[in-house]
Amino acid sequence: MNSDLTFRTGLKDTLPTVFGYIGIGLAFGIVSRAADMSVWIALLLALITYSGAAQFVIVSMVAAQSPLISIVLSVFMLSARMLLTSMTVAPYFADESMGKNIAVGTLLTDETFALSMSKLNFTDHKLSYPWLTAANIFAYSTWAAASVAGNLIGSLIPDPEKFGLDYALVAMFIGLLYLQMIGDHSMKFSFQVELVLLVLVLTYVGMIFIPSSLLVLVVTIVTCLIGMGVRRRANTNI
Amino acid sequence: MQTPTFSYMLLVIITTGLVTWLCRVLPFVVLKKWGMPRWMVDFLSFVPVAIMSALLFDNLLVQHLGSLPTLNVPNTLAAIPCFIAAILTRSLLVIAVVGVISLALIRYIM
Repeated sequence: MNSDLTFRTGLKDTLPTVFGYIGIGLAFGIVSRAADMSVWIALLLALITYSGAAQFVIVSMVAAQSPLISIVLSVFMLSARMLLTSMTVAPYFADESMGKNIAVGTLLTDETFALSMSKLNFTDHKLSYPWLTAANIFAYSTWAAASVAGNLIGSLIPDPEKFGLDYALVAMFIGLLYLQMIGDHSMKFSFQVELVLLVLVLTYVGMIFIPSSLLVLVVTIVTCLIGMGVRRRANTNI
Repeated sequence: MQTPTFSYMLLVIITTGLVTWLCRVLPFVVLKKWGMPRWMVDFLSFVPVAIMSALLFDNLLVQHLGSLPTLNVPNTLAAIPCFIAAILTRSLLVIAVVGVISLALIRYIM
């Protein structure tokens, strides 16, 4: 990475992260096929919903016949962190037009966000519209292509259950959770482990009386509220 | 499992697409004018870890409304190599492949 902020450099800087999109996109495509979804549905999910974790959740919730409102609320809970990533990037485009701000925001992902944050260290804390647009478009098209490819490969596999392919989803959550925990330096790792244990207890107890379509949502909200309370108490004690 | 209709899936895709788009774009539009209240930033910072682990445990336990959940043994056993792969490689693709192969082996043996 260097201080260049052209469209071309944007493509070059994004190249290493593209393999991540190919891997998860393929996995998503295969999972979508295992859930009996057509290649068109997989493509539209990739192009319109455009959020890896949300797409996996949609596939599993649709398969479990959850009501639309729970699906939408879960996707919101899952996507709410993008409010934070967008908030972090937005100040660097304060001088650009509203249209360019909307364009950058529309295709911003966790990965292009992370890429932007490391690029800042090479550019004297500047970003450019062509550079981030190149990264965003590269990521977007790779994601769509990989999702379609995965769905098509998936249809060649007659009995996915036998091959454990349905587990790609659970494995992905393990990976995303671990990467989140080691990547988020705003919280101590030990505190994050405590949060995970809290979620385990809440899920276990919640399963007794909360229907599964609402469980993840309720557990998440309660965990966030408890987390806020613990952090506030820690801050006032200092 | 019942196959969802195309029009229902379209409805799901458009509503969730609107949700993810608003989450991405609203901060760019709103930030200049109002900023975000401190408590909301605070609340949101816990969402990723909370929701990811809730989704994970939801898959490792089997619900029996009205009584205690039981362990989904194959899924839980397969989670162990996944977790080791996560620590060793930090690659989502490797983790997914390890998970799929592990569960396939576990189902074959059990």
